[in-house]
Parts: sequence; structure tokens; C-alpha cells
Amino acid sequence: MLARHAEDLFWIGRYLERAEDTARMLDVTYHGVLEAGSERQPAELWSELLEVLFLDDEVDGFDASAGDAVGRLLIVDRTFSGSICSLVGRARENARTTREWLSSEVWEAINELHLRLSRIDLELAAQTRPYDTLRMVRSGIQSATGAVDASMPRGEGHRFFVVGQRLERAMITSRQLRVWRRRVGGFTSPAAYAEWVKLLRSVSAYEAYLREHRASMEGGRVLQFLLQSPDLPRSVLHCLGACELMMTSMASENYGIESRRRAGRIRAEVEFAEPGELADPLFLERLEEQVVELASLVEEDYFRPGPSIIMHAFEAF
Amino acid sequence: MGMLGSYLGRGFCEMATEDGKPRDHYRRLYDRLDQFAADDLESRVQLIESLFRRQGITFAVYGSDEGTERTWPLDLVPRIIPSAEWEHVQAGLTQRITALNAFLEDLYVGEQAAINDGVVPRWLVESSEGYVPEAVGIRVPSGARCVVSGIDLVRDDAGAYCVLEDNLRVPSGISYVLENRVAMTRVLPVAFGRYRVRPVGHYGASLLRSLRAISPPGSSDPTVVVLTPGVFNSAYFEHAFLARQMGVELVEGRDLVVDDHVVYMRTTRGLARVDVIYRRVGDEWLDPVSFRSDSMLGVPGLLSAVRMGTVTLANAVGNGVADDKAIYPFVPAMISYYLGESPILPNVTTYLPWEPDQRSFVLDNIDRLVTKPVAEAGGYGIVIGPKADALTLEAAAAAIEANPRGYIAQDVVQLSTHPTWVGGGFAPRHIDLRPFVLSSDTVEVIPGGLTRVALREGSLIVNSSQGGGSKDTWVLVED
Repeated sequence: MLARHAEDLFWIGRYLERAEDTARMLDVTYHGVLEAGSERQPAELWSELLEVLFLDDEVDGFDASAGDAVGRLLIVDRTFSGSICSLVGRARENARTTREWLSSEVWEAINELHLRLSRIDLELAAQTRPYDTLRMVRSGIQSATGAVDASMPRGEGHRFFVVGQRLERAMITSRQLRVWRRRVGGFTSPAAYAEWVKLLRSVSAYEAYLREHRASMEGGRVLQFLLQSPDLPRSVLHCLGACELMMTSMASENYGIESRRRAGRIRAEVEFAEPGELADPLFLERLEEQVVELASLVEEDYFRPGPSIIMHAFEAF
Repeated sequence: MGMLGSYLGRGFCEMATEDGKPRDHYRRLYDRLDQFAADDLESRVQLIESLFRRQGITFAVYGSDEGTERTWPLDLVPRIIPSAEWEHVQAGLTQRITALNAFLEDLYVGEQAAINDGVVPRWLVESSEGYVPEAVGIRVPSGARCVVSGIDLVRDDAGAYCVLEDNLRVPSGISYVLENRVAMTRVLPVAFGRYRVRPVGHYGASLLRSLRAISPPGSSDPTVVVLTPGVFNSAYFEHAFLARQMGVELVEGRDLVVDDHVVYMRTTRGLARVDVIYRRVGDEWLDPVSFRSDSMLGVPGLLSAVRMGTVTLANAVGNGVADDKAIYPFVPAMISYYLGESPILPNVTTYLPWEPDQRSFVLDNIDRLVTKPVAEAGGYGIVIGPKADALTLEAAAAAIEANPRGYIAQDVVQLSTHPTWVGGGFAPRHIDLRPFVLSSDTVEVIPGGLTRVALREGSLIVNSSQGGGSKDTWVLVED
């Protein structure tokens, strides 16, 4: 498989995952702000959202006090690379150049979402009916990822898509944990019930948590659940396990050794960490760094064969 | 009276004789179309459009404001070519491609015998934009330089097929031939079922076979790739389509790398050797080391690998000299010179302004002739004398006087017409035909080809970039 195609598919996975997570987190933040009352400033909630999305540096100086402005930025602003519209647009661009690896159903789902986002008056919709708009985005992405699951052969193309998707998800979940941990002052302190609920909702894990632990909301348990649950599709362990599985089936004697080894090590560190280790603030920080490193190892192992191209010649593209 | 009852052709009509009766080979189609009501036909037109748009069968129009992706209208009425007529065309195309290939072989790796014997003027060859001095001495397996060619044919007012131009570099349109056929069998299944039509769906397999046949010696299981300039090229759909049909990789320049005169593609398993490149990138963009250093589409060092014979390019480098419009008038002489045969398909009468006598004739009669720049493609720069205003003619004359080598002039050929669905009824529209010829160790002409139709009334320009459409082209198994 061409390295460029593999990389494009990897990024389709990442873009779609990121757009879906952005939609979910925005939804939670919107409603969190409504319920915040006097305890927390809306501006604080919005800037935390930007931090989780790794966007706090990029939008330096952005006035996050107005929720509408953040919503507009993250949903409709095409000049901003982190907006849902931009992410879906880039996924579609990549899909155009990798059509032969995607089933028609996947292409049509991505294309349709892109066209819908371009067609409606998104700015107005995002302002007046954020819930509907974000739900439309989420279900559009889920129909694309559902088509990937239901119609793509389990070859290299599918594997790179999944690796991209799960790495992005692991990054976002671990980052969320770190930011939330700071917000409620450490995981062992008796935290506000509402904060934990919001965190769980933003990774679609609230119902699963209730079934597992009843309504006893406790920081340590939430942390453990989102990091180590073997069953939860957005837990860090689950994401890393999926990556490791894909990398194991791709790696051979000569290729993909480093990224496979690293995936296995990080997965084991998460899986077998003791509750005390998890509570160490450094653990989450290190985890985040390791996942980012893993993504660059995948790029080195699979996407950069041969001598490097002269980059300045291609920047003009 | 049915939909076709009042139809009147103009010029040579493909479907009907002068008394308005359908020719024998059109009778079954005529009867079928005549049964339809207008709204039924209209709904079938809609079906074609929606089939194409959903699948993304679109092309990009350069310099157009209304967005970048457009579908190319496929007309509802197919063109039918009887078997005997096609045998004649096929023999003429095979002959022409064989001679053109021989000329290129002679020019680049032979003794340049045709030039030395005065068949083609040397200065004309060497001043051609398509002539590539760097290609002199570069051998091609089986001498196959014109692996994929598209020869544009027209029919004059007596119905005789003539060659209008040769396309020996990167001719496009074959994807429409295949897609049109698929669409037509869905839209007019009953009419299609009344004929035995020669199939075209095997093109991908034939192309792959032709390309593998010219791989460098020693490669037992050659790897073929399609090289595209990228997703922004107007023919990107076709490039992706052909790669899919052949089951090979569609690569861009940045996917390839040359190491020690061998071409590799960058895969997830490291570098993989490439043996044959079906390139849809023009000569000047192939290799920034040898040609344009600003090319970002090309592969540094590619030409050196080609010269070493470790990789084969299809089509070969430097073919543009043979489809230069100023060289075109010499093709009949090439056929006689190399093959000792007389041309089966004639050229259109052509005047060469660089010859003083012909130049004054052209300038005196510019309002009755068609003038064309020799290096343009896609119908750009063509001036049709009888239809042009005085200002345009003046500009054309001035351009010819300033650069006589850069233009040719031709008699106006009243292209044949074909009933075409326009604005809710059938109307005569001018058509041409671009058959595709595969030529490697053997020559194969794909039955039919791309029939292009000028959708504007009276227009003689059929190019997709100039408001043309296309028709499915049925070559019959027997008459």
C-alpha cells in the first residue's frame, strides 16, 4: 500500500474522531455553562474546553467569555483548522484521494456530511439550536465510521484508519482526565458530583459508569474507569489495546517494530498500574506524552519510507 | 406522430438518409425512441445526470467561475457504427498509428531516415514544441512509443471518415467510453437489447496487458502504476478510474523516488520497485532535473532511469512532435514512406502558413478557413472563419503573420450530425469520434470510442471544455 494513502487514511480516522469528540464536548460544555450558576465562570469552562482540544495555544488571546464565539469557532469557522467544518472538510479531501481504499458507502457518508455542513446556514443553526446541530454532526460521523466497520475489508487500509481513530481518542480522553483533575482538585478529594457527570458524558461513559459503580461518584473510580476499563470503547486501555492489535497484525520482521513495541508497553503500563500510581498527577502527564510519541512512531514506521522529499518544493501546494 | 416523426438532419446525417428514412442499422433504435413520450425521455435524461453525479463522474473546468466539478452530459441517443464501416476505420487507425510510431522510433533512436530523405522537413521537427532532444537515444521495449493514442475522426458531408488530429501524448476520454456504456444499458435497456454491440468493458485488462508487455527486460512480474498530477487535474477522475480498473496504484510524483537509476514507490513496507509508469503527466513536468525545475508534479531523476532502461514510460517521452498540428499534414507521406501503403483514412485539407504561397492563400481566405494554433489542445484558440467576426479574423491573421510556424489552416469540414436530445426534443448536432488505440507488442483498437457532440446549435467544436457532450458509441458485431 502506498505510504501516502496509508497516511491519508490514518488522518481520516483522526479527523473524524476529533470532530465527533469536539461535538460531544461542546454539547456538554454548552449545558454545563447553562447550569453553572455562580460557582464557575463560563469563561473558565470554555477555556478548559479549548485546552482539552489542544487549541489553547492556537487561539491565544481569544476571548472565551462569550460561549457563542467559542461555539462559532469550533463548529463553523472554516479558517480555523480545529473547527468541525474544517475537520470534516479535510477528512473528505483525504477520502477523495483514497477512494480506491474506501467503500462507496464510506465515501458517500463522508461526502454527505460535508455537503450538509456546507448547505445549511450553519452559523445560525449553531447559535439557535446547538443541540440539534451537534447531534447531526455526531450521527453523520457515526454513519461514516459505521460504514467503515460494516463495509471495509480488514486489510491495511482499515487498520490505518482504526489506528488513527483510536490514537486520537486515547489522546483526547487522557487529556480530558488531566484537565478535569485540575478542575476538581485531585481525584481523591470529594468532588462535585456534577463535574464527574460532565466528564463521563463528554466521553459517552456516564451510563456505563452507573451500571458498573451505581451512582457512587468518586474521583478515583472515575479515573480508573476511564483509564483501565477493558470494556469501555473510549477508555485509554481500550483504545491502546485496539492500536496494539492492529500494529501486531501489520508489523513484520522489518517493519513497524518500534511502533508495535511502544503500543504494547504503554498499554501494559496503563493496564497494570496500581490505583496509587494512577492518582499521581505525573502519571497522566506522562501518558499523554507517550500517546503523542506513539503517533509519531507510526508515522516514522509506515509513512516515511525512502529518502525524504525536499519539503520546500512542496510547500507551494 | 412519434418524437422522431418530424426530425430533419443537416449535413451528413448519421441516422437518416436524405429522404428522412432511418438507415438500416438505426431502424431498431429509431423505432424504439419513436415510441417514447417526451416526459419519459426527459426522466431518462435526469437518470443519467443523477447516476454520474452520485458516482462523482465529473471533470474540472479551468477558468470557470461556477465551481470546479461538472458532469459531462451524456446524450440519450447513442451513435451506431455498422460492422463493415468499423473494419475500415480500424484498419486505417492501425495503419496510421504504426506509421506514427515508426516515425518517432526513426527520429529518436533511428537514423532519422524520413528527415534525411526529405519526407518531413528537419527544421519543422526541431522547432516543434513537442520535440524533446533529451529523448534522443532513449530506447523503448518493442519500440512501443504510442501505447495509448486517441485519433480524432470526423465525417465530411459525403460521410467519409477523415483524421482531424492525432493525440499521442496523454489522450483522455476513455473513462467516459466505459461509463457511458454502463449508463446507457441502464437507461435504454430495451433498445440496447435489440442490437449486438461490441463490448468495451475489457479496456482495463487490455491496457494492463499492453503496459506489462513493455516492461524492462528481466522483470518477471512487472509492477505497473498510473502517475497523476493530482486531485486538482481536470482528468483526475479518469486517472483514478484507470488505476482502479487495472487494480494498480495511482501515484503522484511525491510517491516515487529514484535511487541509483531505479524507480521505487514509497509504500508502508518501504520502497517497492516500479517497472512501468502509465503517466498522465506532460513531458515537461516529468522530471525537474531534466525539464522544468519548478515542476512539483515530477520525480527528480526519472528521466535518467528511463534512459538506463530500468523503467518504461507510456507514452514515451517526446511524442508531442508527431501530433504537432504542423507535422500532421506529413502523416500521409509517413504512411507511404514507412509502410509502402496508401493511407486508408485521409487527412483534412490543410494549409501551412510558414510556406509563403500557402500563407498568402490562408490570409486571403481566412474567412472561409479554420485556423488553429499548433500547440494548443482542448479546442482552445480555434477560429472558424465563416462564423467569426471581423475583429477575430483580423487578430487571427495578425497572429499568423507574426508566427506562421505556430498555426495551420484547414478547410471547414461540415461535420456529420446526429439526432440529439436538446431542450425537450430531438435536434441535429455535429459530432466527431475519438477512437482509442492500444499499441505495444500488438495493436488493438477499442471498438467505437468517444463520440463527442457539440450541444450548441450549429457549433462545430465538440470539446468538453467548450460546451460539448458525449454519446455512447455502438459498434455492431455484424451488420
